[in-house]
Amino acid sequence: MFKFFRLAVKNVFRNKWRTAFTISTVSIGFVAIIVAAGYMDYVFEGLRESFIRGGTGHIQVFNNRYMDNEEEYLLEYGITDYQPLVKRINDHSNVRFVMKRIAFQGLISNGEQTKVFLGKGIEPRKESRLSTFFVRMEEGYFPGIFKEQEGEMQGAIGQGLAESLNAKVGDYLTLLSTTPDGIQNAIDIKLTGVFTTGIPEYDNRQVMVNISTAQLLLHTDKISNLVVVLEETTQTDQSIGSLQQQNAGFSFVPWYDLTPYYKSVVALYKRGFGVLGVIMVFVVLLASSNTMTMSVFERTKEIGTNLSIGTPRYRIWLNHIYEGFLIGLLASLIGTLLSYMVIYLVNGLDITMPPPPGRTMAYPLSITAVHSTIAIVSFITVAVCMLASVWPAYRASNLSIVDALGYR
Amino acid sequence: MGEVEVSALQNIAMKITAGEKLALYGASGSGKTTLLNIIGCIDAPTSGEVRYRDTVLDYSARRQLSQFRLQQIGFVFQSYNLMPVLSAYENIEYPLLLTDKSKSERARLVDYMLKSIALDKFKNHKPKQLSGGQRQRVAIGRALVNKPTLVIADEPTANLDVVTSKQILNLISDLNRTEKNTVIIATHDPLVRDYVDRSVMIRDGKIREVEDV
Repeated sequence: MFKFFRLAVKNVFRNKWRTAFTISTVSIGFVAIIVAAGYMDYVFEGLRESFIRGGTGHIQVFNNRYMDNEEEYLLEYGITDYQPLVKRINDHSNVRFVMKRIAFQGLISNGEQTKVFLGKGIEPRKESRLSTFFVRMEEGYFPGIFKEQEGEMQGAIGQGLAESLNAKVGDYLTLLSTTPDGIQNAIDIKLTGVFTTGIPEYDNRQVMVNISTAQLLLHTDKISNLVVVLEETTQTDQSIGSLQQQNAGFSFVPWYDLTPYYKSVVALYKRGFGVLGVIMVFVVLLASSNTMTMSVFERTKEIGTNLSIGTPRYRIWLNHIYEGFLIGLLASLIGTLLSYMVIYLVNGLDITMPPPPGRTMAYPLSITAVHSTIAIVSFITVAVCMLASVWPAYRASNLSIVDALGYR
Repeated sequence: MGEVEVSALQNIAMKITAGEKLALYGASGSGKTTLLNIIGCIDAPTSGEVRYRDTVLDYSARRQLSQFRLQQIGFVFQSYNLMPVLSAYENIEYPLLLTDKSKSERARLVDYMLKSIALDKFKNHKPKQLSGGQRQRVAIGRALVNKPTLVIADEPTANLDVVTSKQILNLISDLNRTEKNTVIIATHDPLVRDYVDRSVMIRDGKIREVEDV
């Protein structure tokens, strides 16, 4: 095999310019795929972490009945005796911390204007550990971060809501909600902070209060759910398996099932990437097929000579496939090198991208070097170049010897 | 308008003895190359048969014919037909790559052949670095390196001057003597007549004259 491989190497470089042009075309296609995949990976990771750090956490724990039934009133299927459950989850080696949440809604007023809000009862110190990067405090601090004065309840609201209520840190606002028993209840909170999540729809509605404040407003001991934060996002599936086994009465839902937007973005990007991939495969196929066909035309007489000498037809076919393999291999090597150079260059330029649709925050452009994708694309490039050689190789191996020897 | 069928050869009956040097003479289009192609198993007759050592050749068995050519026949072409990317050494070695001979065995045979054709000093030269005569020597080396019993040369001197043609014909004759092979040369060149045992004149696809030299 290797004795003929040497011949293939020499034949590939017989027409240096044409080979260089083909390899360049294939390499550029290779780089386009790798850069697109690297950017996509960066977007996916950023989006994933923004959802997780933005409040979703890695896993959320619900009462089993909450997952199967529609609640008729607030906290109907909340979690009551949660301390032993929190302890068991906290004991898991992958878990960084667990925090309690209450979701509720109601009206918020500054005395002059009233707006609808979506409330979150939270554990402020733990939430700030999760959300420091993605929920940015525009003013003040998370409610309850500093010691509350005796009898004083605190809260933070989204920037859009603060603007519409003309509320500033230090102002007092009234929250009105309905308890699980159907009674209207109201409390006054001191505004300790104004935050932005980057999503205007959230910023226009959201209120965060200490979980004890929420329980006081709702007149309940229950919580809606627990949020589990793991050491690493990659541990999600493994952790869910073992946690679910230990706590049969509860449902452990991973972050990706709680963020349908993430799934739709991933699906959209992957579709686009798929189209790009198909186009690139065609470019590679046409470029290398053209080169191989030209090569067969130019070497018709030589192929005829080799056949007359006694070269088996399969050997002629195989030698052309080797040439396709070599072109693919060289294009992959050069493409890999160029891809790393482009990624290094782009990441070093500190380019800022405009906010994506539905977001308010710009983000730095970064491309991840996804080594596994590079390996897969290299393999596909070599395979496509070999595939592109199949037909020209077949034509070469089936030439009539007499016609080929007479070819001018 | 359909295609017109042309008979390139008709009623050809000839016997070639082992070790013989035979020249096929004839004008362009006379059928000598077709006859050479049929004897060389790269073209098939529409009727009739060709025997090699009393075995009838089966022209439909492409794989066996390919193997037969590799083991029994050496070809020398008018325009040398060397692979331009390979050196003189590598061109001569090529038929041996198709056999299961070891690298050292191949090296021994190629070196011997390079000495026989007096090109051992040019072994690393590519065809474009060699003269016409030297290229034809390489082509003869490639044809003979696998020790064929039959050497077929189609116009081997057509592209060469008289002095070089004589050198090439001398080389073919010498190698015929030492390697004990049979040589068939298709040619227009009257010079060839001095180097062969028998000349056959072909005209309009038929044998017109046989002359023992």
